[in-house]
Amino acid sequence: MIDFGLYRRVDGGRLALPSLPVGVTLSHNRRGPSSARAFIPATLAESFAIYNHAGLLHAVAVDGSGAVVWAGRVEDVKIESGGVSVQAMGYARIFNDVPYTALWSSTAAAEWRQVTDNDDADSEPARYQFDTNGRLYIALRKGEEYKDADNTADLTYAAPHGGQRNITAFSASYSVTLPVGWELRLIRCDDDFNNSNVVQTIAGTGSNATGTISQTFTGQARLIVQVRNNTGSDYTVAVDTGTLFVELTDIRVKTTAAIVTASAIAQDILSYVTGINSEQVRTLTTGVIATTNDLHDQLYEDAQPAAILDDLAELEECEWGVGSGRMFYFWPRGNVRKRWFIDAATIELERSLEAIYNSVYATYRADDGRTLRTAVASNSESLAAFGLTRREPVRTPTTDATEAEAWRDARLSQQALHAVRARVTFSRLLDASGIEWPLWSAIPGDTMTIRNLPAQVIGGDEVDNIATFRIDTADYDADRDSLRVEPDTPIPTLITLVAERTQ
Amino acid sequence: MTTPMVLRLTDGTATLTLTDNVSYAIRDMEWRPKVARRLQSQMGGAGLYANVIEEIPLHVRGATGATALANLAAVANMLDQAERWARGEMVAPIILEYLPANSAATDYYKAVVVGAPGDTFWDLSPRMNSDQNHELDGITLYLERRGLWLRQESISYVENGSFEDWDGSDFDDWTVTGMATIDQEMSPVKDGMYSASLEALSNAVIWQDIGLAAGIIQGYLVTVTAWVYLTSGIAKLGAWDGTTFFNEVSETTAVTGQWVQLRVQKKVASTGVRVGIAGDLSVGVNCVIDDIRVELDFAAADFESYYQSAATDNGDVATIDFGSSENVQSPTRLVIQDMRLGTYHRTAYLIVANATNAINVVDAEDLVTSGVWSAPSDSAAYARGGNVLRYTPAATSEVYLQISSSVLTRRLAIFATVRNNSSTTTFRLRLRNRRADTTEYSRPVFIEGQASPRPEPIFLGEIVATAQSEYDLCVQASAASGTIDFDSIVIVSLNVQPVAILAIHEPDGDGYITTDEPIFLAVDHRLLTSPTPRAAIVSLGYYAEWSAQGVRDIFTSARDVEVLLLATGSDASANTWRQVASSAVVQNTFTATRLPGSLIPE
Repeated sequence: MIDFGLYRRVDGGRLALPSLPVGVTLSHNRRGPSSARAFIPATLAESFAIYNHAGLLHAVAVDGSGAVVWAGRVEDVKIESGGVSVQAMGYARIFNDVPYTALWSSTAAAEWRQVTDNDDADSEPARYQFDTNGRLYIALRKGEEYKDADNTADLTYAAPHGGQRNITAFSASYSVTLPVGWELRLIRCDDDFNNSNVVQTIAGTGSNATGTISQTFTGQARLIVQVRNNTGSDYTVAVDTGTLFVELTDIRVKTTAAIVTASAIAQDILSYVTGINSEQVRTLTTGVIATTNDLHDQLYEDAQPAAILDDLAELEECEWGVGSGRMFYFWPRGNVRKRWFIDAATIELERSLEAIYNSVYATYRADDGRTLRTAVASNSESLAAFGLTRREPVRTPTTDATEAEAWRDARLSQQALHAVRARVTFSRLLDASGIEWPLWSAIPGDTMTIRNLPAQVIGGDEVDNIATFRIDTADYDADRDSLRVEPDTPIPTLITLVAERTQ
Repeated sequence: MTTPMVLRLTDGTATLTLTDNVSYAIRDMEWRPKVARRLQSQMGGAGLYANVIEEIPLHVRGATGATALANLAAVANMLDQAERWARGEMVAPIILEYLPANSAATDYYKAVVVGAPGDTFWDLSPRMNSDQNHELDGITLYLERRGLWLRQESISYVENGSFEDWDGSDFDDWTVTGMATIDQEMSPVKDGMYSASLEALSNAVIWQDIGLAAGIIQGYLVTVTAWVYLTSGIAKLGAWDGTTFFNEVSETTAVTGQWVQLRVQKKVASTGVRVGIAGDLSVGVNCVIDDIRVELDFAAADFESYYQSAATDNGDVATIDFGSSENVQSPTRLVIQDMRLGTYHRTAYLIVANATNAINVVDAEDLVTSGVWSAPSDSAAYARGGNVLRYTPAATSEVYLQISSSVLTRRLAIFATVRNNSSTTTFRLRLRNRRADTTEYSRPVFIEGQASPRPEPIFLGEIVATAQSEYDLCVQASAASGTIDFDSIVIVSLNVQPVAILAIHEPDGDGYITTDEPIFLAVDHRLLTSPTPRAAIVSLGYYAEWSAQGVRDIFTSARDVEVLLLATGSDASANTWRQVASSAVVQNTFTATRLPGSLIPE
């Protein structure tokens, strides 16, 4: 049996409803509890008491064993004939409440710009030659006179205005040919160019010098790469333009000293959203399992945290959400799963090539903006099974080949197998021991095996999208005691009823 | 000798006997009572059986045509009231009461009416009653009732409360003081065959003492009710301690010529409670009185029979012996006496099992005490058994604690009282079932670090124990530091249906419970009284809905029902493994009222 109650807030008092909720449906998707609907028969006055309730109502469904099977917040309240209907949404919705703006890592040279004399009175960009196409390049012009400690050339990069994170690390390879007394300086400052601090200086030697820069520092919003005359006197260039220059390649700006991982971003987003909307989701980060891919281009401006987490989860083959215990998770898909078994009473099963891609490559950007492509990765099992290569690209924003390959491999693992269109009816939800469980026990991330299919299609308990599939969504109807689940499939348009309990 | 079928509609005040053959009649064989089937819905609160729609061919009669129409209107008003009640309006429920012909039952079988199907009660004929035959036939009463018939078994605290026993000059068990004229009457009557007429000057009173007894407990509220039919003056219903005269009083208004129910509440004194009716000091009274009752605040309604466990240490399993089992899972109202919900208490779990040996409490320290596990004493915090089981993580890998091995295949819900002694380390707990060919895990729970460590009951999850397998508690620390303690591990067999488990929330920070006064908390199905079940405090003078998560309509059928309250905290500290008051483990008494259910009244 299910108890569905409304509470004044998380851990708050229970609302005394005028009548029992009816038409209760509890839905889960891969983000955890997704939506719950209920209709509460009530008089108009009582309906308004619910409608006008101050604050955010908390909805919880508990089963007979004491387990919280659904928890979320009431978002929609509708007075209609005979009562009031409420729709609650899972607490993963907190990641749609506020936009997130933050720089994590950028390797895009094109995002750097020249500092004007309006920004800094010493800056004289017209006296230099610049290039930000795949590199940061500053060259002195022939015949130009540069005043001492003035007439500087500056390229700057700023973290997004109003963002959550300041720049704390910079790395690049450099090639510098500057006269003695000239210098290349890496400067950090505030967004408005105040409070500048020199991070590193590379002095000119009159000949070419190469090396790498790798600096971490106290966070500030802006970085400046500056070339200036520090000889103590004015300097006129006698050599051809481009002979004296600074070139930085493989540049990378970060807001963390560590590598930039999806799990770190997820944790930061959790901290950010729970800092604004407290109470709803626990701040516990134990559900975030560390990932190891170093992500090179992660810049979010006014982005929905949920969309960011979706991208990160796809890249890392993870799933994220907020469970019934209001705990945030970002962990490998199926990390916490149960295995269910059903005996199909009736079955309609259709496979299609439409959604299968057993060969994938990724596109990414070169430093100069050119589109590059990774090597093709293929699923040999799928190729052999279908005798056909179906290939697709996955377009990534990164400039890093390794990161692009991670995107490629993630996509391949999702789309190489059968996409199944199926309708199965069954009456009992069983575990590996053959014990029957309540239908609401099956939730996304769990696997479900149809165990009475012919022997040739029953493998182990690995997801093959034939006899065994991973649950993507689960909708439980308490009035009918029925469960609809959909298989995990990368095709969002494939909305197919898979299983429904029959009495 | 045969006894006829009785079918009544009542709201507790007015009663329409549909088989009285005066105002209403149901011809033999015309009504076929429906037998309910199991409810398909899994929503708790409405019982286990589906509502049924009764189709009752009804003849409505009257001494005059107008009376016949009034009698029909009375039925319509009842149905209307039933619908209003079902929508949550503050009106009394309509109960369909049924006693089959030749039944051996002494109590009516009752089912609450939740309304009627369709948009109309009836389509009346334009020729209805036109020939003044004073009988409206062709009326079919459609009503929707809850599927299970229920019986209320009653006991009486007030002796001779309906004034049936009269020796010609005095009523048995009652004392009359002051100058009063009393007599037994046959009309008007509210309950039974007789009532009592009372003609009293100012301070005359008829009274009796209700001594301390099971349920009549010093310090707790009782409610006294009496029906009064006033002719003149003012009647007062009083409840007092035997010395302070009428310090709790309810009095009639100026309404005369109809039954009015007086109600008064009184905290029980050391000697019990005295109840009585008197005339107003200045104007006296001339009235008829009947059906005087004392209701316990922890009984569901009227004066129902109840069954109690022995006073049991909090954290131990108590057993309620109902004396006999029921054939049908029957709604059971449960009251926890001496529940504590003060500042230092955490969310508690109430576990009810419809069988014996279905709830097993294991002292965790009895399971293992080697390696990373130790068993320090924590009697200062009232650990069950005196010690706790402590896990000191040497690494962040998962460790396993075998809870038990199994020879039965069953589904288990497992709870524990735990205390994370670290402020920084988080512990992940989950259950594992391990057998030769497979390993299954429950979904994990996480115990966060606490700045001020305090025990708390937690739901660890569900696991299946199968033959030739073992099930384990798996613990993983987020860092190789800190410790976590376990006191009780509670294993509940979910195969014994039905099992009821409720999480009773700790007090809200903004809530009104700030004292550690013992309270009565009732978990009430309210199937005969309200559209919704309720968990509520029924002592301290208020009846507030308490925040409890879980199915609040409890059904039992066994003779012996097990109950466990898994709770922590004391009146002075959060750091106790069980509920503690005045430096002793609280003893809980569980009181249950079961309404025997029947699909087919016998």
